[in-house]
Amino acid sequence: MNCHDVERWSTAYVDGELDDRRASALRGHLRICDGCRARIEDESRLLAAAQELPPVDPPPALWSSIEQRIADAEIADAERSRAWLWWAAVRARALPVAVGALAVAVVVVWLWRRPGSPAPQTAATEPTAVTPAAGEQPAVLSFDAARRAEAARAEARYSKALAELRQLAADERGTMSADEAAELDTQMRALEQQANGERARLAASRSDGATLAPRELDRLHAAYRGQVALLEGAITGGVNR
Amino acid sequence: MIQIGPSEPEVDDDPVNIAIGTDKETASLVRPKTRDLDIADDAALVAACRRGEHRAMEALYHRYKRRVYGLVTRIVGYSDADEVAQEAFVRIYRGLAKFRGDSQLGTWIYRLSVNAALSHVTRRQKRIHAGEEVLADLPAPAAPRRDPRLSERLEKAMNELPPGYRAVLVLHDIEGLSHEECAEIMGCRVGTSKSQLHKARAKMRELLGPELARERGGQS
Repeated sequence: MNCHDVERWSTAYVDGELDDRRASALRGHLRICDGCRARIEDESRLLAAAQELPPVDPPPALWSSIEQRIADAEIADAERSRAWLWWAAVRARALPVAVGALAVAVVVVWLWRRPGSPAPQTAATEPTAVTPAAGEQPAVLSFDAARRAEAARAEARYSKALAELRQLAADERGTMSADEAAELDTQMRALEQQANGERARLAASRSDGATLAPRELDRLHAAYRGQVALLEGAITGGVNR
Repeated sequence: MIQIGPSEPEVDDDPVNIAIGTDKETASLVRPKTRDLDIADDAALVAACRRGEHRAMEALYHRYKRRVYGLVTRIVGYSDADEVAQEAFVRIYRGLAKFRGDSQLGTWIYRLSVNAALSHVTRRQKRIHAGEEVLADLPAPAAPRRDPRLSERLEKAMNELPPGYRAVLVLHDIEGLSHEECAEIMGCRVGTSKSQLHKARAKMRELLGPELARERGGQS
């Protein structure tokens, strides 16, 4: 036990919360260290003085002031709308119900989106099993069907953008050197092969009836984005030229 | 039930302090009929207060007025004590609907009172920093006390502490609460309460150094 330890344990010692061994060691140190003894005496004196402070009595008029403020608050309540009063009455009960419902919804969505989980088998969630009438859309899509529809829309947008960019690049080809044109063709072929390979893999996967995993299209879309960047560079003369 | 704070009568029957409101909204207002009420039973008292029973509300006030008023006075000072005590009691009565009995009623009341006091101190500091209220810097007017020599020195030094240190010092050293209760009231860990108290006392020793040295000298 040294002065630093006394500094650390002084409050616990004065409050009687220090274990017996440490308390004994601390007392031993106090016998040989005047500074620490003064420190402990001061803290003990402070605690005793705090405990002896007299209670503070509130003024007699405090209760009537409180009653007045409660009355003001009740008058303010009377001016609130019925909807507010209804919500104030039910919110204490509504909050746990809302939290519970949210938790259940999160678990259901998580189970549904989990890779490898089987697709829902109900007619309402399997749009391919039901042929909607002409001009009508299925009322409810399963999560997997919605993802596939979104993937198809993305595929169409990439195809359209790449077709336009290829046309613009073809117009610019006359301004390229032979080496630049050859490099462009080489890189485009590599990216197209990558995209074709991904499409083939996805088609094989779909034939097995598996659901579309959340990150499954990432590599295909990366190949598309590579083509877009390459063609934009060729058109603007900034990339790979 | 855990006894919170120094021993004091459960209900202060001082007739001077049982003031009935004279306003027409308060005194003559019809309140729900008072049922048989055991004011020593916290749950019954809370239920009666929720129903708006006047006698129960008054009983709750008299049971806790000294603790609440003493606590807020020592955190915010005498000058603002009335205002903050009113605010604390209004929060208590208006918040009773949310009191679920997870903690002791006394602990819950202390928590609301400490929060009201610390919020007031924070607002006051912002006003002072904004330069809008220079008067707030003035020392609080002196209040009559039983032992002016001792309490004045100590309470003056307490006013120099940061609000968080002051709150834990009041709760633990003056009100006599345990660190577990302090932590529950202040919404912190038990270790934080101990650490805050240690720092608060160190600061108090520093502030009262000359007086403490004189007392030591007087004893030896």
